[in-house]
This record gives sequence, structure tokens and C-alpha cells, in this order.
Amino acid sequence: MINIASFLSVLVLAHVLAGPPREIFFQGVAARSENSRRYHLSARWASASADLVLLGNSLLDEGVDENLLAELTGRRTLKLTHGGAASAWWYLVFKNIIATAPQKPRTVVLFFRDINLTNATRHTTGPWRAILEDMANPREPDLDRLVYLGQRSPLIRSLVRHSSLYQQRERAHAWLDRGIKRRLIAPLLRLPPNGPARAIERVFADERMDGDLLTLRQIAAANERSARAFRFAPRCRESFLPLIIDLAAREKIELICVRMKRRRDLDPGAESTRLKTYVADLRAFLESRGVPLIDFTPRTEIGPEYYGVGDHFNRETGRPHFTHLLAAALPYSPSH
Amino acid sequence: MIFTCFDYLPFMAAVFTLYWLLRRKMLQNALLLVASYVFYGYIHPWFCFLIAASTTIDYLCALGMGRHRTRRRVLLIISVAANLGMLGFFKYFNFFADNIAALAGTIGFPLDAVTVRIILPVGISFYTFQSLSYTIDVYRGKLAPRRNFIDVALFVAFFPQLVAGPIERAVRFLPQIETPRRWDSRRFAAAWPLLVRGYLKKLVIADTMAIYADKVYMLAQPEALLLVAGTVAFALQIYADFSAYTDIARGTARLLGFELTENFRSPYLAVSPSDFWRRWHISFSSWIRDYLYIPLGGSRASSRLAQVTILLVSLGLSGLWHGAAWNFIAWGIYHALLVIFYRALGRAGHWRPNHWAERIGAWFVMSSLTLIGWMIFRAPSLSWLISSLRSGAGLGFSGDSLIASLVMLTGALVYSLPLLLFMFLDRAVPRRRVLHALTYALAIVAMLLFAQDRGFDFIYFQF
Repeated sequence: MINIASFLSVLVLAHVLAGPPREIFFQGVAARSENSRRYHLSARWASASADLVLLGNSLLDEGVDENLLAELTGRRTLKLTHGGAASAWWYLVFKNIIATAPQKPRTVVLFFRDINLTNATRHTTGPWRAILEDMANPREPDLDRLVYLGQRSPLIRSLVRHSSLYQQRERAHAWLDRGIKRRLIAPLLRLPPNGPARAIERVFADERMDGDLLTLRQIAAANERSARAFRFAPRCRESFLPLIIDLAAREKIELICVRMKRRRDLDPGAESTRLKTYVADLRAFLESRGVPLIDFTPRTEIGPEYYGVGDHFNRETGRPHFTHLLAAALPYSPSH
Repeated sequence: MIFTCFDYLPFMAAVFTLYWLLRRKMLQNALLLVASYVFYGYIHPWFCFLIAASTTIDYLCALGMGRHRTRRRVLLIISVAANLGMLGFFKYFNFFADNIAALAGTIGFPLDAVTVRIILPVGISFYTFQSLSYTIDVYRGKLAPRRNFIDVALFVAFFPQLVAGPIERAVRFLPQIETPRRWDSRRFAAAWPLLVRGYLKKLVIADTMAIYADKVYMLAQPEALLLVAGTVAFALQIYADFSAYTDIARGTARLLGFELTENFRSPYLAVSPSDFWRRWHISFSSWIRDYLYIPLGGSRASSRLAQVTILLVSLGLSGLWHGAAWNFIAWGIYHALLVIFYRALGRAGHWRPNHWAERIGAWFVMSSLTLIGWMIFRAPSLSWLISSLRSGAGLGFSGDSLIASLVMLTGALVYSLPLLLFMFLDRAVPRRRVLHALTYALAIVAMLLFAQDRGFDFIYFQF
């Protein structure tokens, strides 16, 4: 009996120490400093009073020259990007910056690659949480629903809702990670606090990794994950895409989706059957909601000479070339 | 189905409730058999036909051995050939086809390798060995052939240990199936610590170490220190992962009134290769010893050369059992060479240094040798390992790799603390003390806080 009591008391005590369970899992920053990304984007947005907004990540940032595009389309153009940003960030920017502005743009163009439009959880945890919180309002129920409760088993959902201890997981991981890197290894080797993290980034940089070295087990796990990820209809229901479309419709903003061509797609046979099916379903869904999809993947005018690092276009030739292609592809542009 | 997927929870709850509601042993066994097939065929239902075929063949062969004493050897050959044939086809066909084609090419007879798209049925290596133990023991006269098909089928397919062991022996497990089982709350008390321990090892330790190890072993050319750090992480991962499966399997079996074999006994405390194999994957190493090594002649073989050959064959095949790749075979042969080397030094069998300093020295040497073994085992290919070790970068290290290695080693040390705590508890604190209850409560707290979001399959599923 005493064993059971001790066992339960530790569990209860741990939960008590963690505080009552939070009802809101995702909480935006209430007051923003001048270092805040949202502050900067809002300021840029206010000064630009743009008519054409481009929303995306580093592929867009590297790939499109906004001044050239403005010149080509005759429209005031503004890029809103963050390196590595994914659908949660795009949704927050759309909802909290673009849709709340007194003067709204006529068009928002959303740049994505592969299945990122329906991957709600991509880049939402770890360091990304702070980036999203910076862009969020104090309450973001859609993020709670899609990122922290969606796509999880009933057991995990129940833990997320009711266990204050479970809600501390990200903090616990960060605490341990900081403890090892910043408080132990950095002073031991007399490095700056972020030295170990930077060293790890360099050691395991993408270009040093070899995808062919995956074990059969890793390949099988990745295949299983991707099989789920490529099923458009269920993933779309659990994504920010319908919310973004609804928001655009409500605010009477024309929404256009642009699928970027990856370096891999230079080989016309590289696109998997699963991805082709997914893109066909995506196109059908977008058409049914009146959203045009511009797919640059099959475009042969984009050759290897236009690429820089990874899937990014180089600034010298790739960026202007793609900007011209984009201007020509956008509806209502003078070149149309 | 796997122990860490959500579906397992309602599945187990339903099986557990129904099982104890049924009072009769026959009905309990029938329920467990159905549950085992559901568990096994959950993702690929056709896997069930395979295990059913294997079971039927062994059941009939064993019955035949009982009825026709003169045909025992033929029936044993049929059983062994059928089981190993299925294992060989599903697991090794492409490996041998590729290697024969490559060999023919090198000696001037180019051949196109015939490869077949085969999905490896999970756990085939485990249940094949388990099923074989039944027919071999019947052949040897250690066990009477069973007439009850459900009992034999349940012995082969018992779901807690079906896909990753422990590999049970018919002599030990069939009597448990045949004995009536009654609910006993002490069994539950003995089961939950194993379950908590197993889930902690898997979700927190193994899945975190997997991230470290996978990163290093995906580098095109890791530096030596990184390779060491990645291998330490892998050593921790494979032990935590595999022993977690065993703990969960044993805990689940206890909930159902069965007792499964212990599979690990602090393997990283081994002081010699023989000692290691008495502690690591015990149910498998003892199977190899009893059904392969000793029948081939074992240590009683006439010449030293024969002894060495038998050891190389036995451990080489043990390596091959783990997977159709040369690095697994090399890992097995490496361990055979270690045993041979220690024997040559007079450190065979149950050798253990008397003095504590010597014991620490022997442990350190054996641990280093074990790590080298894991390096061979985990390497994506032998050529990758050789080129990594050969390259200039492979022998040195940069500032960045030193920092990354230290971070990984510290992480491995932190994550190994629960294992050390469990070892201390097992050895120093009598059971049912409050300290046990407190530790398991803390284990649940640690699981809630530190379990990885992205779960990995158990490593031994692939074998």
C-alpha cells in the first residue's frame, strides 16, 4: 500500500509543481520589441502599402526580385519571407499582418514546394516555436488545434490537454539541451554560449550528409511517414490551407499558389507517382475553391544554370530569370 | 502492430479484459492465438499465412516423428528445410542473387542479378527459430509431440514476443501454455515495473540516441572522434531499444500469466567475449549454442582447426541472422575472432579476473572491443566504414567535430543514467521497497517530459 501511495504521490507532486494544465498551448507575445520580426514586417508592410504580396520562405527570398517584379507587373510588390518558414508561419502572417491592415493588397501569392502547403506541423517546434510566437496573437486556437492537438493519437491528445507535465516537454528538452551545450561544453572548451550549437550545425550540415546512407529501417520509416503525408484529402483537412483560402475570400484578396521547381525536378522523371497524384489532387482542390495554381516544376526554361545553393536560385541569373517567368505567369500582369 | 503505437493500447486492454473473463484455459489460448494473429497481421495480413504455414509444417512433422519413429530424421529435415527455406527466400534471396551476380561478373561471366521485390515479414527470424526449437526438441526426444494444434500455434505466435523475442524454447514455454492460469494480483505487481522500464528505455533513451547515431552514420565521411561518439550512442540505443522490447514483452506476458526468458543481463559489464554472449540476447545466443554450435561439435571438436571453424561458422551465421548484409556477417566473424583470441590467451569460458583493478581493465578492453563491433554492425556498408577509417579525415578531428562529439558523449552519459539507476535498484535494493515505487514514478515523469515526438520502430524488427 505504501508503495502505491509513494508512486502516486510522486506523480501528483510532479504535476502540482508543473502548475495547472494550460488551456492555450500556443501563446503569442503580448508586447513586441523593435527586434521582433513581426514588428519589422508590420513596419515594412505599412510603408510599402503593397498591392501584390509574395509570401514564402528562402526559396522566394532568393528567387524573386521584388523591384523587378514591380517593374514588370506595374504593381507595388512586397515580399514577406522567413528562411525555412512553413504553412503555420504563412498563416499567421496572412491573418495577423496582411488581413488586419487597413489597406489590403489585391493579391497574395503563396510560394511553396512539394507538400508543404498541407504540412501543418512543419517547423513549429524547437526554435520555430519562438519564431511563430513572435508572429502570433495572444490566442491562436487554430494553431492549438492543428499543430498541438491535430495528427496525434487520442492518448497524446489527452496528455497534451490534461497533463501539465506533458505540456512542459518542449521546455524540458530545451533545458537539457541548453544545459549540455551552453552550461557544460561551452565553458569547458571556453567557447561562446552558442559555440557548441554552431559547431554541431557545421558538422551535420546538409552538404556533409549522404542520403544514400539511410538504413532500410530509416527508409521504411520515411516511406511510411511520407505515404501518410502524400494523402492529400486527410492532410488538407488538418492543414492551414483551407483557413488561408477562407481568410483570403473573406477579405476579398485574390490568392494564388505557386509551386517552386526544385533542383531535383530538373530530371523530369524525378517526381514520384505519389507526389504527382498529390499535386493533381491539390490542383483540383484549389480550382474548386477558385485559387489558381502556377506550377513551375515542369517548366523547361528553368535549367541547372539558374540554381545556387540547394533548391535556391542564384542571384546573378536565376533570380532575374525566375522573376520574369513569374511576372509572365501571374494573371492580370501586363505580359498576359 | 507495435508496442509503441496507440492502437496497441485498446488492443491490449481488450485482450487483457477478455482473457481474464474467460475461465477456461482452452478458450484463453484460443483468444490469445486470435489476438496474436491480429497483432501480427495488423499491417500486412498476408504475413499470417506465412506463420500459419510454418506452424502447420512443424506441427505435422512433430506429430509424424511421434508416430513414425523410423522417419524422424526425414521429418526433421523437412521441417528445417521448410523453415529455413522460407527464411532464406524472404530474407536472403536478393542478397545472394546480388552477390552471385557480382562474383560471376568479377570472374568474367557477367550475369544479370535476378532481384525480387520482397517485403520482409517482421519477426520471421524470431518465430522461425522458435518453431524450429519445437521440432528439434521432439526429434531429440526432449519433448513429446503435441496433439493440440492451438497450443502449438500459440507457442509459435504468442504476440508479446512474436516479432522481436525473446526466442522461447518449446520445452519451457509449451508447459506454460498447457497449464491453467488464474488471475493473481502479484503478477500484475511484477508486470508493471517491466512495462514502465521498457517504455522509458524505448521512448526516452533509445529514440533519443537514435537521433545522435543516425546523424553520424549518415555523414559521408565522419571523423574518427565523431564515429566513436556516434557508436557510443548506437551502443546505448541498441541496448535500450532491444532490452526495452524484451521488458515490455515480459511485462505483457506476465499480465497474461506467462513468464518469458530473461534476454539481457547487463551486457556492457562483460569482461570477455564469452561473458558478453552470456549477457547479450541470451535467448538467441543460447539457441545458437544448443542447436548449432554444440551439434556441429563445439569445443569438443577433435582439432583446434575444427573448433575454430565451428566457432566462425556459428557466429558468422549469427551475424547473418541479423540481416542480409556483409557487415552483419563481418560482425559475427569479428566476435568469433574475439572468442578465439581470448581462448588463445587462456581467458575462455567463465574467466573473470580476481582483482578489482584487473576486472576494470578487462571491462574497459571488452567495452572498447564491443564498440568496434557495433561500429561494424551499424555501418551502412563495409566499404563506407573502410573508407571512413582509411581517409585522412577519418583519423583526425577538427575543432567542430571535437565539440560535437563531446556534446553527444555528454548526452549519451546523461541518457544512460536511468539504466545505471535500474542496475543499482536490481542489485542493491530488495524488491517491493518504496525506493522502487519512487523510481518508477520518476520514470513516468521522465517519459512525460523527455519522450521523443517522433517514434522509431524497434531496431530488432528488421531482423
